[in-house]
Amino acid sequence: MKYIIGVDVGGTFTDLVCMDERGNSLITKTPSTPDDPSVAIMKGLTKVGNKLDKDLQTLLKETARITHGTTVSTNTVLTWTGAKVGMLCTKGFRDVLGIRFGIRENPYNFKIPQPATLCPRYLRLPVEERINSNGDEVVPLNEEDVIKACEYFKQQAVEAVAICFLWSFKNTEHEKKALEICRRELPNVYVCASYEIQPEIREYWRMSTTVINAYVGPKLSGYLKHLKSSLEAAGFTGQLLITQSNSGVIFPEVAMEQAVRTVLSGPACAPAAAAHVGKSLDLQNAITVDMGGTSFDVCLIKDGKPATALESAVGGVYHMKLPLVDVRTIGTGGGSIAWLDKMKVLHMGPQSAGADPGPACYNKGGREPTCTDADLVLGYLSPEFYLGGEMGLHPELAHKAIKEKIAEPLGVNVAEAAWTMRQVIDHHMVDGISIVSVQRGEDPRKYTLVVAGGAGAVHAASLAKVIGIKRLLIPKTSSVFCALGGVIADVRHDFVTSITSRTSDIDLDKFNDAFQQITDIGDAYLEREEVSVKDRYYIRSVDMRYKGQYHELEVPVPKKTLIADDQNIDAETMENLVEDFHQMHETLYSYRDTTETEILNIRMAACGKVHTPALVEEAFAGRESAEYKKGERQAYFEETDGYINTPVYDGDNMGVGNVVEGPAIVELSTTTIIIPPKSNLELTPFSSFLVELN
Amino acid sequence: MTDTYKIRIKPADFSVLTSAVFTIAREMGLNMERTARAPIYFSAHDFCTSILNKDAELVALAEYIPVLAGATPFAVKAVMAYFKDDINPGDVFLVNDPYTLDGGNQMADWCIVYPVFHGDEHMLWIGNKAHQQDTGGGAPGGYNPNAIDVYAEGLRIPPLRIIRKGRERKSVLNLIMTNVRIPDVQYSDLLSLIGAARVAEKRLNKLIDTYGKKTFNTFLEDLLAYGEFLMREEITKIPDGTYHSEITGSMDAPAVVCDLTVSGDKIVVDFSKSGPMSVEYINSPIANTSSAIYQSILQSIGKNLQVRCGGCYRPVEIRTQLGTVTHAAFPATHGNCTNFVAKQIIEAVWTALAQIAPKDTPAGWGSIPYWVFSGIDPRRKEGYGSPDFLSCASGAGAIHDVDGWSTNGPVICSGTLYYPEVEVCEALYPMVWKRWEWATDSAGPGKWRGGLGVHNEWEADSDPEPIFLHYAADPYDYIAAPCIEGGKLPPPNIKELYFANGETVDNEQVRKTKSFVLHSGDKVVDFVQGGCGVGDPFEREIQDVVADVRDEFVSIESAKKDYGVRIDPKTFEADMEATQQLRNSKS
Repeated sequence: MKYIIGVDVGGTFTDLVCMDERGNSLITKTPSTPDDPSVAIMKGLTKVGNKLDKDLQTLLKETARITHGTTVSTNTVLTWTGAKVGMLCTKGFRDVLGIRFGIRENPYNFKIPQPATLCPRYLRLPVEERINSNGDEVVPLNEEDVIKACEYFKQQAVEAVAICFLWSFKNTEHEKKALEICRRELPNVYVCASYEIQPEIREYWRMSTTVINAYVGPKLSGYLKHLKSSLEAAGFTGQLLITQSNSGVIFPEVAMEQAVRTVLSGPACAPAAAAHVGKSLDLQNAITVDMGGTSFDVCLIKDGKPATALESAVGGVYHMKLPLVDVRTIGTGGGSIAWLDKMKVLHMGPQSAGADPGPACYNKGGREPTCTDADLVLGYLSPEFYLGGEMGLHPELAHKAIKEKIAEPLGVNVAEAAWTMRQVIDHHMVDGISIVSVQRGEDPRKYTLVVAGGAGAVHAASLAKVIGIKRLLIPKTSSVFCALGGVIADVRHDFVTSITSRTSDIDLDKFNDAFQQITDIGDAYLEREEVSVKDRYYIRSVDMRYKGQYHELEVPVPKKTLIADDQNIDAETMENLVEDFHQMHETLYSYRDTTETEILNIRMAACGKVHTPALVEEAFAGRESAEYKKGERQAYFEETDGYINTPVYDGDNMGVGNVVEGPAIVELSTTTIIIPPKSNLELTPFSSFLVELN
Repeated sequence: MTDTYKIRIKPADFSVLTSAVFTIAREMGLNMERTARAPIYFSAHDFCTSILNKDAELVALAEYIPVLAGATPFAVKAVMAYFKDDINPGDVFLVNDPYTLDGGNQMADWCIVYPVFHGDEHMLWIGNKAHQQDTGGGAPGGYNPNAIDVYAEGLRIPPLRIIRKGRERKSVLNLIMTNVRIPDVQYSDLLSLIGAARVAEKRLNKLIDTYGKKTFNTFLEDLLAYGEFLMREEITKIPDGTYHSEITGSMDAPAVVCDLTVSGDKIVVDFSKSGPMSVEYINSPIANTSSAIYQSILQSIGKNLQVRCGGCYRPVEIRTQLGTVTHAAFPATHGNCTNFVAKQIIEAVWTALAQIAPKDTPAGWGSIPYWVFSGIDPRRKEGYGSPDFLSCASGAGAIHDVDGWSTNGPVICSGTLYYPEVEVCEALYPMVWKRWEWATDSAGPGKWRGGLGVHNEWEADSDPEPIFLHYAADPYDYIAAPCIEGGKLPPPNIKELYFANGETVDNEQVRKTKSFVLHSGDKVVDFVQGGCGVGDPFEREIQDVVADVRDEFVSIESAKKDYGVRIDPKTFEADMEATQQLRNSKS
């Protein structure tokens, strides 16, 4: 027997999914150990072993691969605990990083200080050199400058160096040489150059991405080395793979060099898992939502593929440009606090009660009414069976908080106040769904909502109603989606190269050569990762825009066949690409222009198929669900204009095919599903609850 | 009375609709930014999207550049006054002229006025305003320092119907596009403005469908009353009184004079004592003056408001005198008024406010010594023209408790101008940049230091084509103000030209000559000033001065002279004893 194990280290829990060759999977959750995340991982693995009746060593011997999603890099940036970074810049352009293209996020409130850079100015050193816009050397590299800088970095005990020269993506020679010198002079320092990390026009984005890489690189490398040796010492002989923000996996050695690719990788694998579960039910178009205590993540899946974005900002401040799964996070969750301003206008958040003191009903000292308090007052949550009964809730405290802070000032009863709170919070989430769908020209009503997170299924039906979505899918595995997403993730490397030309006078030979060049680089990585040729596939796209626009659209290149040789783009394909661009532009922005189109970059993802067993289809157990009814309670529905006696079901034990008619509540140890009147829930094969809304 | 006003629609509906209309305004902005072709628009974010009620009061907006936010209602009002009842579904109007019905703030800022109908009923307006690459007239880009009247500054567009009931009026658009220098780009950008409005119209109609016309209309009243209430509440916190300020400059600069009167929950901002109109092209039409005043109030008294809408403007009464530099009369030149005197108007309001609320008032920002260039790029044989945004990178003023942000200017953008990357500039224009980085000692000293400005240097690489270069900066060296609680001024801007043949043009001569022709090898050198400091610099924390010196924000000499901190040039550590002596000797 060979196992595949997915590990996702979150802020609170470390989730493991262990899948055998037949597709059977088991799940464990272990409290995370932030000081050394590998402690919780080893504990989790031991737990998995216990469940399979195997000791850790035997389990690890029988494990073919472990995929690991880590928040180490993201947290390193957010908590300011990265390396002391030194930077080499083109002389005269020392402050591109600090200038951050001049933006101030809030142009009205000047009391907010300017964000500090990840590399302070005294460590950003100028080097005499210059390449021009044509890629020609104008000023040769002054190697003496580089050597002197290395001396200074040594004195200053710099731990990582980022090299970022102007136009280096057009001519890599100067950066390459500087890299070589730094590696020689500073053998124990983490060194990277922008041409390797983000070889694309626009120096701010390239530099910022490279500096983040240097900032998180040493810490991530140390962590991964430590984890790898812990696993090996415990008997693991398989392959460790690391998940990236593009939801693909890479070897740990590659992750160490390209550490920035793991930044923001936390939620990136969940949509892939949702797509995987959806596929088994023939759902190609889905919107995934994950609502927890403090945040709400949302992502669009179209034709089975999660939407991607190129630009992002860690902590809203530190910019990076890399293809990543476009998971939008909104600061709205169960802990969001309700408050009235002086004109009695209701706001939900942005303050959150978090886990401590938490909502008023936690009885941990929280006095403010939160979203969870409203859900409890409305009868959606069970006072006894919250988190599977691990925590008791206090309805009287929720009631009191809402009454004093919201209901009385508004002159309404508590139920109405709670319902109002819920409508406002639902709308925040609807806004998030609109951003990923409507603003991409997609109609959310044609999508299925795939729901995850403890609070997700409590709100899914009511927010779906607002936006006109008809179907909800709540997989039982949704609480460990990130870990599951890792198990099924393919190997993936993203590449970009700048090629600037009007589409009308493009040199197709040069264009195809450029694709071939990045394909070769991709193949070298896949080779290193022992991906066999038949498992390789390539996803290609072209950044296009109307002449003179600043922003581009990424236009996918249709795949002709699987064989790489036959992928050359001919004049006809090029014409089709241009037409695709016009159509995308019209869908997104409501018009097509008559002016010329131009190409800015070509992109390619070199991927390696990873073989994962299909999900196990469980046997049909009949429609009848009465035996799982475990009680009744009063719950509030808009359709019934108030509270109604509502049956409660035990969702953990229901069988495939079981149907529940709304109004009803289905309780699971990880979440609670609210089914409004005139709607139906069915447990489908592959352990997912499907709710059809009326 | 606002303090007794009660939101009339359901609380949940109010919160939801408020967030929905602002989301729509922001989406319009995002769409415009993503689709525009002129650098001033996509990069400098010199545009603003707004949704207005039927009376042209701002309901929701995405102010990509704050100084345009208050100007769109003027354009909508001009269309209303001119076309009265003759407004149909599918109509689109265009306005730029500041002197017809006071509709425009500056001629290069074109405003699309788009009525939103729900069925047959006219419910709302959309006003999308964006700075255009060119607006015809005697010089490219709408900045003509040699203009003698408004006709020489560009094509005047009074309220004009460009689309009637969904049908483009081709001949009318052709007339306009024939009179601008880069019609291809400008036509695309017009499509971008209209396209964004179309998307928003769809969204707004859906909202109205969902909530019903009656609820929606009540919501509009509620939202404006809400904004008004929030603003009045902030004004009440300021002591009553009249506070006077004057911003002056060199030579015969007309003074920008403000009398700000606070009484209870109202403010009167009176600029009627400002100096006469100038021969320089800085005279400010009323739309521009009003918008600048609103910006200055929102950035000081209103900095914490939960919503910013037209209701917030209601408690602010504006008074001006026609024929002054702060209320231009036809046919005075005005092309540069959005930079100067808008900056002086904003800072005059702050100077008045600093007398009563020094802890909540921002200090003056660095002035921008910017250029406008144009020509033919020999690589593509295509025309280009743009302000040099990299010369606009002045520093922000400090505020009590917080240092000013470096390279954040100009103040009219307040950090919404995205400086294009050097690589993007070199790809777009036939020039090679030599330097663009923070300039040591460019900030005004203070307990809280001003933000830094930059050194900006580039060389022409355009042979055989020439580059036409215009000086478009502050002609009068108006003082940056206010300096609060003993904070100090930044050093002045410097612009110089170094020609390949060895000739040089110094700062003074640059300002006199104003227009130049460059060829390959000719070099432009700018020193761009930072912002003003706040508080006595001798009280700045010693460790902050040490860090500033280590980072070369402040030189060792300036640390000693301006901050009273003596720093060892070898160890970069402070000599505490000498520092104490220095600091004591001052007091």
